[in-house]
Amino acid sequence: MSPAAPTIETDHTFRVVFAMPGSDSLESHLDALQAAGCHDAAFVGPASDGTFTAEFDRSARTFVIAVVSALDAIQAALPDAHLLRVLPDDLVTAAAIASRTGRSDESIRLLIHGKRGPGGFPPAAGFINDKTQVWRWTDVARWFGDALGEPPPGAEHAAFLAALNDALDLRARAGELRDRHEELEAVLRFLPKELAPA
Amino acid sequence: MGGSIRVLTAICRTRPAVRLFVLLLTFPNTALALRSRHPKKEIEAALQEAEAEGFRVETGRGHWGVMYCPGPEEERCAAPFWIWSTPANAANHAKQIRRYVARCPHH
Repeated sequence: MSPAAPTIETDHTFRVVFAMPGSDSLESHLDALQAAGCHDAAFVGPASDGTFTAEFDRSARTFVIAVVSALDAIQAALPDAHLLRVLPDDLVTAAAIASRTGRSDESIRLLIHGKRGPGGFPPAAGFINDKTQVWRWTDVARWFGDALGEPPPGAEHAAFLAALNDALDLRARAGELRDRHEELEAVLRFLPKELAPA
Repeated sequence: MGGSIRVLTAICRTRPAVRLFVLLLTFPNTALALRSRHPKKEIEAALQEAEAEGFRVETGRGHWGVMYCPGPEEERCAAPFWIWSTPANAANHAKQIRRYVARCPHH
């Protein structure tokens, strides 16, 4: 039996990254965003890569309700927007792990190499260049809770955000595969049954 | 050089417009005082902190104004930051401004 949903609304902070093909300013969209209730977010952009960011402090009973209602509101106000990611992101560098856990860079380095703590730090997910490794925040946050007894703030949402961002990625890819039925069928075969629509 | 400064000082004494111009050239941050204030005092305080860190605030854009990262254009974190006139929660919008400034590596 799942725990009862909280009845009190609290503020949940997160960022939504989106793109608006063919639009290089938000100025003409601010009325629509306010009408959709997005004036609890700070809008920033375009960044140098052309993307926009909305940083929400949204009052809701749960984090999931806050995130989903924010994504729905942006999409309602900006029907042509592509929702790209919800941050904090799942891939993190050692410096980002230090920042999210409130430890120093050196402390994280020692934990990674097993020179401090119980050892068994999660394996890196890959390299983003020759020198910089990245880890999955879902793995790292779980390890901090299980191995050190120090679950980082927001760690309970890490798995949800990672899966949600994968779903947003998949949605973008599905558009590219729209008329390629054989490839779509192949992808569908590998979707976990937990994610099949009811 | 000393003579030019003496002449400029004399002009500044008699011409307020020249005095203001020289003041702005000498202390660009004095320009802060010239933009209109945000109607929400929490947001105005956050904007003044941002300006003290080198951020530029332009009023009359969007719903109230925009704020720019002080970095060179090609390196800006993300610009502009759109400032609401009537956000859902003024205290939260002030926090959003402060978080944005804290994350920006260009100041």
